[in-house]
Amino acid sequence: MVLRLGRRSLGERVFDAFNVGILLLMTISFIIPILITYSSSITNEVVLLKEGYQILPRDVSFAAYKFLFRSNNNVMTTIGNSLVITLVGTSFSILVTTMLAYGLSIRDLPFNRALTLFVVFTMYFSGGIIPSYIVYKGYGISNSLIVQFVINMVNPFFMIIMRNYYASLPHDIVESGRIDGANEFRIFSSIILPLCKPMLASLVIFYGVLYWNDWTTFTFYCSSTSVMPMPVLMQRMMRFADEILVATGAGSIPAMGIVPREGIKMSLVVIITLPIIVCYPFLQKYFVKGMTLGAVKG
Amino acid sequence: MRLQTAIQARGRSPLVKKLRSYWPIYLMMLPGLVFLVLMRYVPMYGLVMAFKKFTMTKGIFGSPFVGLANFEVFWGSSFFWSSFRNTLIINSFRLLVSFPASIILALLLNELYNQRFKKIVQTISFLPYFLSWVIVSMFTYSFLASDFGYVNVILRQLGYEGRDWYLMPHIWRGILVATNVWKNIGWGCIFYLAAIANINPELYEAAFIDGAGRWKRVLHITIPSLSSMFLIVLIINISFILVGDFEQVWAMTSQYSILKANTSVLSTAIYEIGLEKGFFGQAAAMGFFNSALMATILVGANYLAKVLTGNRQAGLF
Repeated sequence: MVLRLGRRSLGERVFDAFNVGILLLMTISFIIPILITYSSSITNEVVLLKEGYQILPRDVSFAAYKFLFRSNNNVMTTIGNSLVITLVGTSFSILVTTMLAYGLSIRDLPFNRALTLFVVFTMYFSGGIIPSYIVYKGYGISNSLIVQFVINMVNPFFMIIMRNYYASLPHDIVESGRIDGANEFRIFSSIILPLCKPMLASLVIFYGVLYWNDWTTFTFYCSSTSVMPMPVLMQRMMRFADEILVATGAGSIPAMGIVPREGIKMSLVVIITLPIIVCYPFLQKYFVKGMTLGAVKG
Repeated sequence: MRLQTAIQARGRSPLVKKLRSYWPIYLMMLPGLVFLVLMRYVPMYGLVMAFKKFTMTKGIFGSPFVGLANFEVFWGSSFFWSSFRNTLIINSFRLLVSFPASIILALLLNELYNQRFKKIVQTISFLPYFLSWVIVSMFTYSFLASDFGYVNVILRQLGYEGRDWYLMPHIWRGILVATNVWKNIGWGCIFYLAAIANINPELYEAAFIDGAGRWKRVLHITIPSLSSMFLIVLIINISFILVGDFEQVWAMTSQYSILKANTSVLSTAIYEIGLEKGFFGQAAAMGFFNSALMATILVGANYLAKVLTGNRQAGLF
């Protein structure tokens, strides 16, 4: 926050007005694409094709959503898969990451430096997609939901932030827990973790978004439609024109009239982004706090 | 009694005693470490297949060594070199734009008087970071689609002809850079804002008393306090200069083959050659080459940072 020191000169006033203008324009640029896709998803397809995408819907129609939310089509399968991947993946990741970070935050833990390096190394180097594909196939986890909710179990970056957060907690708390006779597991679960609520909230949004948005894991290591998550369906609808008909099962039911192709794509964008946009403002304050404390020296 | 031994063990005791007292901690760390070994380090070891004539039936370890044969194949391919060039061009261009852009945004946000407005701008500017490239690619499509994209709608309203943006390969490197900056600018400045918040306000007051105006205070206090952070961000960015952003490039351009000559990057080339066409050995060799180059650049940039600043503590490690 800038301190208000002295009176503002004319030059400063001009700058301040200019500054507000620029930032306002930038903010609008972040909102407009969302408005366009959201309004297109509820626009009558005929009007949409004639008049093009608009910021506000001209002729409201929910036909696209009716196509998506019919039972027994691939869309419902992908929604289910995305939910499973996100819920299971996020829970495991948070459990495993918080425990690993806790150990690494203890300074006099033998081999601490080596183990930290062991984790951080994976941030910069990887075997790449080809060896990973072969190795995962060898484990028998490729082409399944398992590989998709296991793949990001420990994100080194989030782990480091978590570790730094633990390190910022007052040290006496752990010692007093020990003197009260609590064992290490108890100290961790009933003393340390409750103090980390803002950071845990940050991890929920980071990992949640990571799993919810993940489409490369499927692209690299999976192929069956039965384990496909929503973003992959989205990507395939853009790549292959027929995917819309196949996924919604619209090709087999002529009675439903014209297929709102553009509307279906846009309504899928809404379904994927709405949970993020709705939850985001509530969790936002936590991750700014967490990042501020955790990212000081990464 | 147990407690006493634990306390004693934590004192100046030999390593073994210390290890013993910490066993629950190690147990808690175990799942994470096992994950990293199985899912990250074993594939790293699998990179030896870059030097092998790989067949699925024999597996990574059973396949015979062929020396540098795989490297020779991609070394002579024009697809590899055009992808290499694209990666370098797109990423350098992106570095030139996005690195200063986040800094400028952080400084501009910091100069706002109205805290409420600042908060709203900040909150909205982080949002695109949390949307995937598939979604951003749909946003781009809603703007640039030839028949009903928003840009063409506007152009037609103004009396111009609409254009086929997806048939113009030469603009797409620019679009990749622009969308990348759009998506990441807010997130990029979060660290700078955190650092600015930690600057001692007395510094500004002292400077004001000495007659420094607002611009001078930014130039002589805010920017110098961020310099070590600039360096770290720069090193990280430079070391990723040869790593193509698979998610972005594949989501935004893979459906338009005409764009490939200008937008294919190393990571998408590796995916196409390896997983789509099935030339595993060659693709693994490209991946190996890519990683090795990246490691060299990372270490080099880090070393350079230490030499240029004359500070042994500077840099990442």
